[in-house]
Amino acid sequence: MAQREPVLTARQIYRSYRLGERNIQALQGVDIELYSGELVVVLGPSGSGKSTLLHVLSGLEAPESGEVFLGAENIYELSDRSLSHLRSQVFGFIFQSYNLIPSFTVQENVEMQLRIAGVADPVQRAREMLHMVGLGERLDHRSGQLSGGEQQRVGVARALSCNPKVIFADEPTGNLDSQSGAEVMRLLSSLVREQGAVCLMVTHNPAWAELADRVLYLRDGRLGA
Amino acid sequence: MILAIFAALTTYVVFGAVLDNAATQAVQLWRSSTPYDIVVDGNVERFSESVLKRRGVVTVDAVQICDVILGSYNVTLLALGEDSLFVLDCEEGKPPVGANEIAIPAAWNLDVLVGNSISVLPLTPGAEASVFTVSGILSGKQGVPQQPVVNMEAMRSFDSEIRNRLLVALDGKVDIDAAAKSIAALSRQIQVSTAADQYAGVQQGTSIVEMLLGSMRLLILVIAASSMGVLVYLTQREQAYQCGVLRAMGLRRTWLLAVPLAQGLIMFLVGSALSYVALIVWARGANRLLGTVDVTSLFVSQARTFILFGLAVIAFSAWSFVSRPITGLLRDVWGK
Repeated sequence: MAQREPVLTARQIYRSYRLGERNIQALQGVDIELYSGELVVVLGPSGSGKSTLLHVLSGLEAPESGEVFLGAENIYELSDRSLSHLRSQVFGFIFQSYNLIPSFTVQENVEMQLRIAGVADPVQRAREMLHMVGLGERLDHRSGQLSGGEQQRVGVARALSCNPKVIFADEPTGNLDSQSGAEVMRLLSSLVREQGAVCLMVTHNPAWAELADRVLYLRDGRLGA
Repeated sequence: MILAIFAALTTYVVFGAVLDNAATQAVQLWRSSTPYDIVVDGNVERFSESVLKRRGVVTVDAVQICDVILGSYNVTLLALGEDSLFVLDCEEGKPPVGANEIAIPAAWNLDVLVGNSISVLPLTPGAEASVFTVSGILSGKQGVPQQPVVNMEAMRSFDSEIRNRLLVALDGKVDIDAAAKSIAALSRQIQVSTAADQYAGVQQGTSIVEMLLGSMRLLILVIAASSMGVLVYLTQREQAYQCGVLRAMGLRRTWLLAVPLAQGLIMFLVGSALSYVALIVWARGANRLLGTVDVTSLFVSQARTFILFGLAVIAFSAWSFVSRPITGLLRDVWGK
């Protein structure tokens, strides 16, 4: 039986932060492999390094040591141009704090991602995604006028609009009601199962672990099964 | 920021104009006693004819000079040819004719009289002193040399290094610096300097006013650059979060750099245009005090340094900003 090659591999990732006088070790020697078509959930208490793990794996924040490979390429050896290309077309990131641009409308926030990625007809695609997440009636509203849950749905629409191969989701259902949360998980599952994407989701809600292909635990910067 | 650029640039150019004018007037004043515009030193014997053929050159005076000790002073002795640019006008006595005669400038105050003997010692080690008779005291009128003068025969008698020099008078229409460059292009064996260079060499020191204006110009440049740096930083801090989101979505650094650079360039263009208009108005009043002010060439020459420096500050500030880690930009909610 042929062995599957991982889509994304991380080896011996270390990342720390200074907090006043203290040095916080957020990640300590983390190894992880992600395969296409799987949903991986990372559980862990608040402050365990979950968001930092996603930032490092998605190229948003370089580790102090260690390597992250997309296929055979170390993403931190790529030029800014190449890494930016990955972030726009290969990776999709759903932020815990949404990270929308408040002065843009709902549609413009999703459209911007599509324009950066060079997608044809970004307007149409943005509308499709927003309809899919139930915000078809709010296209012209400023994102600052939306509730937390609605902003999260815009973030989801933006992250998934380019059909990314690797999805990083940081508490994607944290501010959503159960129906919206289930809808987001359905979307993520659909991308994973039907389009062969891989999704790495961090959460402190163990209920979503039941949907996962793999569950990992992050405690004090260390990852375990 | 446009107003800051306008104010700083206008002041910078005006101060520069006043300084330039002061220097020009000083050079002109000094020039009134020198009948030449350009000095050519070095291996000049072969080039006298070529220099005369350069555009704008009217007269080429071949002289000889020698460094000597006269009385107790280190001086440069001058030997003139027959058709010299200089006028040997003496307030007492007459110009040197014999091989042992010398004329001394009146302004030197050496307490010598016509007919006195004076010792001239070449600076070459081991050279012997020669005794000359003072034939005349040179007046301070325009065109009279302000160095001791002997004739060519006397100069040849010195057992010392004698240098040939060409003194070039222009027609007054050609630009002096352009003419100097044209002559210098003849050969690397010659060194060319203008009257302004000569003035700088003999100048005793800048006046206090000039020093003050020069220092203030430098201060303006530093303050303007610092202010621009701060303004750019504050503008970018307001946009830090937005930049972070765009970078997270995959926008390249160079695209983000284009925005502050374009903003900076537009502000400089608008500020510079306002400054130019203000200078035109200023020149109308300044013409009465400083003489004719060519606003366009003044603005171009003075503003170039200012604008390039300012754009460099903006580029540096913008680059250091967009190079920040993306998560740092996302956490910077100062302007969110």
